[in-house]
Amino acid sequence: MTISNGDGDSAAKDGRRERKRKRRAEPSLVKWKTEGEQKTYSSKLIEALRRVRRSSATGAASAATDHSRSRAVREAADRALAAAARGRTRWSRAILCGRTLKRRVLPRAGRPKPVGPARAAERSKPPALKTKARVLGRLVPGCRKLPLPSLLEEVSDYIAALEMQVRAMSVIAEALSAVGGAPSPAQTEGPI
Amino acid sequence: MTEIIGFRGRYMQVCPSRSPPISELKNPLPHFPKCHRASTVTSLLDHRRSDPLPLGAWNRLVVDASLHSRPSLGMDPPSLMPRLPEMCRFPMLGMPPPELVPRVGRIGGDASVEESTVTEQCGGSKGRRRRRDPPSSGGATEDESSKFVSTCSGNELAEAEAKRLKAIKSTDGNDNIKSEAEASSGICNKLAAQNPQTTEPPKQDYIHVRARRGQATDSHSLSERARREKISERMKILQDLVPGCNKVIGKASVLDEIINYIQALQHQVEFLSMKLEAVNSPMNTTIEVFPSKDFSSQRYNTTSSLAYSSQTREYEQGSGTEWLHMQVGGAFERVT
Repeated sequence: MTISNGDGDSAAKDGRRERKRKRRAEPSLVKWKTEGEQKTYSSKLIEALRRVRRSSATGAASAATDHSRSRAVREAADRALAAAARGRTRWSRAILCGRTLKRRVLPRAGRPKPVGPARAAERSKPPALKTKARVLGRLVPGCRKLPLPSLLEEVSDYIAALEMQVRAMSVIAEALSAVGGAPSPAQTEGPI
Repeated sequence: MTEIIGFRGRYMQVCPSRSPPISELKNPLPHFPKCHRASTVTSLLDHRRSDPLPLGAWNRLVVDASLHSRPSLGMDPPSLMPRLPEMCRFPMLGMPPPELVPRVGRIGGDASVEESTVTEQCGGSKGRRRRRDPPSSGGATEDESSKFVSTCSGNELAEAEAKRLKAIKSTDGNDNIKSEAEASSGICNKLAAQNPQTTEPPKQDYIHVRARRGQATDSHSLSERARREKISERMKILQDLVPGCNKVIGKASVLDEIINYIQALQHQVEFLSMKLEAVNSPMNTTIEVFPSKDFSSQRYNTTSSLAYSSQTREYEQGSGTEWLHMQVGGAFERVT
């Protein structure tokens, strides 16, 4: 054991010295599939939902319009998801700090590349990949100008996180509707 | 675990199924100051029968590491003989190299065995052509480690790649790769010194990856290749993640599938969030407002919740929100 440890250390140091380029560890995708992560996210989401409900119930009509209120749950869910990612990925950081900015900053009017004769003629195979990569970058929050390899990494983590989000939200929606559905018929007929 | 074949003065042979018979190897003592895996070390030590030299542990470490990384190792003819001593000389694992060095020198003649071990370590199932080339006996057999181990083979040193190990490092155990890289670079250096026909000694500072036979070796293409490998690696991960992506071939179609899938997931999240809103607001207001006097707010909330319910009605697939319609309708009647 000691041998291996010692070896590991020295080898690791040597490797690190030798490596010219630092390589960050890939974000593990397994964590998004675990039950624990889903439960954590669910509790965070329920807390956010309670907050939204409280704010809407106390007549916060003055503060928010219908549209923003309709988006409140969605944004709360996304923010909870980004918090669950612990900010190790680009998209999570972008979500956490981007929600405030996106509302105030107008979307950029200029197109990324102006259409010209030279560019129009350039519609060959490799740029097709590039345009798709750009579309993908726009889909994932905070990954617009990312080169392809890192973009793919972010995308894989984002997909895993989204899947977990869908799972958790469907469970919560079902649970809440079941809870709400039972007393509601009695309630509606009560006062009448 | 691959079997460890008899180790009587010979180096251990791993994966006998794939490697040539040990009889080819003449001399014992594969000293591989290479990989170190704690568990394997102990297991190896248990298996050990006789090892006159303390380096035996190294052998086991090395072989075991290779075992773990790639059980399929091939053995090359003893042309690797002169190379192993170099490897041993390289103080990879921080184990007492000074003691080993003299022994390594002594072992020089046992290079054949060592070489085979090298190949074993590198033993990869990738079937690099290098492996079979007689001059390049070091043939990179191990998947990634083979890449740079093959650099040890003198003739093919010219094609040492610098960058692929970076990609490899992400996938393989870091320690393994580092140690192997070091070993290989050390070996390559020595080999270069030894063989007059070695074309280009790999630099010590870079992670050496062996270029495939017949591929360009300038730095641009090497980096390009490393980048492409990284991209294809990530694409493979994505293909596993996205259902239905295995059937399409080609980066563009895979990217299309990924884009569609992400859009579908985002729509699903949107729908579920609206469902949650529907669960949230009308429940809250109707129940709370009943005993309260705040009818104006109730009216307002009812209308807004009606709007929400109409939205959800479009999306609703199941029968879960029937209660919602009932509730909202009832509240509306009450208000008006």
